[in-house]
Amino acid sequence: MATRFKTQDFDPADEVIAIDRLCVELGTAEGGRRVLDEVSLTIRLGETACLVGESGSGKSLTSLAVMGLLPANAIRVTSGSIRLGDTDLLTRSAREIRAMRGSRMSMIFQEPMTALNPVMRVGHQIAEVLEAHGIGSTSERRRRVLDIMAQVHLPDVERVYRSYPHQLSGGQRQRIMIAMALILEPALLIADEPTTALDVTTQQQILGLISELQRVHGTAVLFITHDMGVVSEIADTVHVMRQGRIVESAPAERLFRTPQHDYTKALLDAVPSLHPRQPRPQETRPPVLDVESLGKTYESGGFLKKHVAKRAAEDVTFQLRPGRTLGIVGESGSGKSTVARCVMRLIDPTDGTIRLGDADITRLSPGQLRSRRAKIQIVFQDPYRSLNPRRKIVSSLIEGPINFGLPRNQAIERARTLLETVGLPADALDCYPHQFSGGQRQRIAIARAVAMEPDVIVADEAVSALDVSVQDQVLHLLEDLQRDLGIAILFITHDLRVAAQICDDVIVMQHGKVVEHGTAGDVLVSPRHAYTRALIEAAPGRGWDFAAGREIAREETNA
Amino acid sequence: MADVSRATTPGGGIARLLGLPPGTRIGVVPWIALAMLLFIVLVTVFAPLFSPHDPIALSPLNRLKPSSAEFPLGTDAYGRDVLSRVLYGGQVSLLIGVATAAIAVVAGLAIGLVAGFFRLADALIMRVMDAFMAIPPVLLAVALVAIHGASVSSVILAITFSEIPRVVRLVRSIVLSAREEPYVEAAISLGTRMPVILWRHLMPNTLAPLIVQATYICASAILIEAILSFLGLGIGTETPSWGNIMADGRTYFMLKPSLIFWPGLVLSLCVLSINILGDTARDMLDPRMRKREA
Amino acid sequence: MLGYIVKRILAVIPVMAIVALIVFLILRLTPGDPAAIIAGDTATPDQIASLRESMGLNEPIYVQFFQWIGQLLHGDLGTSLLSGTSVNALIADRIWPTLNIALLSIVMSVAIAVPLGTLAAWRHGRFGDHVVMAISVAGFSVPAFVVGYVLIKVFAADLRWLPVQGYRAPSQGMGEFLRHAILPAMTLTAAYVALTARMTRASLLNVLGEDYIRTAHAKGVKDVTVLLRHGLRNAAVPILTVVGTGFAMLLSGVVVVESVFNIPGIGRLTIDAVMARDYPVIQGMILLTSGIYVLVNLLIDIAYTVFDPRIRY
Repeated sequence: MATRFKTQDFDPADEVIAIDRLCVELGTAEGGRRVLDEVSLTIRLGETACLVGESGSGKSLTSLAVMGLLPANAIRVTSGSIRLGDTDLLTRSAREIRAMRGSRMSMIFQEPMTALNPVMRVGHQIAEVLEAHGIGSTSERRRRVLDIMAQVHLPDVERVYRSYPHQLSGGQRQRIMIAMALILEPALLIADEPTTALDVTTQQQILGLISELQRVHGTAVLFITHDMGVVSEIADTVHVMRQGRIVESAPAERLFRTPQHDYTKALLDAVPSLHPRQPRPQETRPPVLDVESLGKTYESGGFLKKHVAKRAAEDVTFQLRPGRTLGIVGESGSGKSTVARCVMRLIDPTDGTIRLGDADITRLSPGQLRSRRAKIQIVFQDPYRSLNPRRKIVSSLIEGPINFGLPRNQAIERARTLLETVGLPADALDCYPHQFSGGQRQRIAIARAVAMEPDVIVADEAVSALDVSVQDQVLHLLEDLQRDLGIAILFITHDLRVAAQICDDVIVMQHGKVVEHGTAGDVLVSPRHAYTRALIEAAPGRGWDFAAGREIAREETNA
Repeated sequence: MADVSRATTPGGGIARLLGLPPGTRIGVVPWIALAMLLFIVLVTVFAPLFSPHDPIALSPLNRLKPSSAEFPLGTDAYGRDVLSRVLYGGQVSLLIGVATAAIAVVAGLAIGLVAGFFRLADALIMRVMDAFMAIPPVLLAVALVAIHGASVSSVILAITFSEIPRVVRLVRSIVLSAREEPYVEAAISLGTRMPVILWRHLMPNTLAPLIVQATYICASAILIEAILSFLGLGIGTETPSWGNIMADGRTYFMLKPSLIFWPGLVLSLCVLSINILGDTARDMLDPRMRKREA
Repeated sequence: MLGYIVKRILAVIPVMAIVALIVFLILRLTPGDPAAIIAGDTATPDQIASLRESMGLNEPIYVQFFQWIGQLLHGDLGTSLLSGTSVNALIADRIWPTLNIALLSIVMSVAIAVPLGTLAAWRHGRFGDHVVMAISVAGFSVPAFVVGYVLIKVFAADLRWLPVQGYRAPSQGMGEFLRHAILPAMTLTAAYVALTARMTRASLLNVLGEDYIRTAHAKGVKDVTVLLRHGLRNAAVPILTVVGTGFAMLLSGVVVVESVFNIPGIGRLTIDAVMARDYPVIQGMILLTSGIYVLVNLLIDIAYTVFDPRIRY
């Protein structure tokens, strides 16, 4: 399918919001660090403007400044103006701004679970918008809430009205947030990473819903995201932010075809292609990891409670050969992390066997297992929690080798070499984790795993928490290590693009079961299972090659 | 390639040990509290240097004297100098506070680590702790002291019993959340033995909260000692403590309220400073503050 | 919901069983002969021997324990050594003053502490917050009997507004009850208010940092409404918890306050029993107060479900 950028011409339309040279500084006194530097952008009636950038670029600050929600005692606007229609927001009192929130401008947030009050029925939470603006009687409010709930395509609105947030799915919760934001038909909707916490198929539905409602109501949308794929699907105009400045603004198609600024080019370059990389020659050596009919069932209940067995993983079989990468992809709750943790024996499998090299480790006791641990290592998702914050880098790196009898000075020597291998200076040894960025910590975690000279590394969403440019670097690091050391990698991810770039073979999981298993080329280019196809179709921007700045040719997608 | 240069400056020793954010600011009140506490500790520890009189020498001629140059805080019903008794009394009260805090924290840490890490022991330990929590602390102490007789050590023991469960709960909850941390699972994967993981990766997390808890236990123990003495179950008055000085003053309260108010004031200021220091430490360690710094 | 409540109720059983064991052991694991201790220094060996016999001390210790538990399960707390009357009767006689004053204290404490703590969280880091925190840390630091004597000095001795001590039952007139109960209740309230206000503040501050508070602001809801409707209700569970655990402190305070104000409640009964080494009464009192504590906390556990719809197991 060819990518269709939106091409509507907004020049004649009215400006809904105009931000002009907005500057924001940290602290309450003069001379704080400037976190927004002369940010200017306008959005017209019916236009979707995407604000893209990596973490810390100032995207969210911009939106909070518009809403008047910056924490008053920590951050202040120093100059510039924000006009909503013909109102200059920065000159208005807190009371006047409050009256505009929810009615003339509204906002939806990233995490629909935490953004809704857990102890209040969702219907009342929507109705509260009307109440806060003094609109309607109780029964009239209820009628309007049910009406907007139907508009956001919630099922069984009477029941959902009375539900609490925890009784709804992630997608339903985000629909509630959207209903709340749009019930008063505001001129401006700010969406701050509204789909980042959602699974890809849900994301597709929510993006569709926002576009649909925007068409119906003519809302101007400021859409904040880090995901270029999402941008390519929804943006009329794109503003690229970096370190508090907008470095490039352009209509979507022009930006994707002919990016001007180096940073924009670098960002687009780092977006992994959905098209699988060239297949590597078959590996014929015996597998280092052989998993057969693996299953994990959680039993709960018992006395006074219904006995419930939850099958987190069922009948998972695969082999991993030296120097190869096997990807396990799936949405949240698919069981992919359960498999990873079973293989690591961090949790105990209930069925099947796991063979590591020539040893069956499925039922080994913790003591017997310890001597085998060196052969299989893990890299976790969250770089901020995977290193002990109280211990120096050197302690983390030598802990494993010393457990296996390496003398301390040799272990330190190995740690020093490894740090260089993963691209960090050797003097990093004497530092603490908080002195490093997320990407650097992930490199250290990889060094810690490699220090054990393992046959297998399990990477559990190891690049999912990183910005795309850093993600790209870490993926290359893993690839280099695999080439040089012949390590096999079990790569757990929800991101098909990442899987396409690093995996030789791919397993697709859904509801704890394997639905498709094959080479990356087969699975990602000509999927056989309906679920795999749905996943691929839901991947935003799948028809576009971001690095090359052109459509992916038809023969390539079907090759 | 901003990725390869290091982000921030190294943190200091104690701050790092406690997991404090760099540049944590402390207001003026905690410093006043610290000065006050140090002052109280110094004058009680060196009571012999500062006391105008022997705290236990009876002097029937000087019964219930008002404040004067000779007896700055007056005298009690036996003619003993109240100021000297308050200074010496601090020794016992502070000893009980510090010893209770130390024993409760060490015992609670050990039991809490076991409960947090061994599922089998956990259920039993926590039921026993629930039971100890259910017995009001003063009643438990009263019963223990009534049976074992009142001495400094039995009072310490009696108070410790009701403080241990709170420490255990604290340590256990920290261990339970820390053992889910990826760095602990990484250590398991590196083949580190369980006792080493417990000591190296889990125990340090409990350190800072335990310091805070210790201050509260110390404060509470000083108060409970006072209550025990006041009820007539504390240490005998030949060894003055803030509690038994006030207990002695009960009978003459309507006649001479200062017999209760002076020791009460000193005790309250002491406990207040300890509590303020505990609050300060807790605020500095609050994860919300750390989030704000990040 | 019902399952949750039943589960909570059943969880009380092991706790009370262990309390009973502790109470039993406190007395039986004493170094020396309990009979000799109880009989006192002046007793003859014959008197001690007959006391041993009547207390069943010649049986193996586990037999003694189960005999005692058997008694307890029939609702029999034993017989006072001092007066020879049953402990049940003694308690029935003395419990009402204590319960009435404790109840008054809790109502007063919550009514004062929750608004204070809310104010502190609302004015976080500013003057109002500092004042509330200063009051609460001070309330924590003064022994209850000192608070009691200060109140007596000011309101009874100097101003002569209220009686110095004594107790009147509500049945003797609500006005008289309150005149006598207000100072004891205020004494008990000091530390309880401090504890509850601190927790209210801490819990609210926690909640005010949540995303849904930002959502409420983004909806254009008034600040006060955000604080009360979204903040306080979400902050309720930790506040309730501390009201429950603080109840042990209140029961401890009762012993002191009844002594200061000369109120004929179970606190005084306990102290009199301790002075007279009346062990069955001491045992009964500890069991009773622990039972009350466990019951109060059970009710609070059940109350959680009212405030938080997510608690359903």
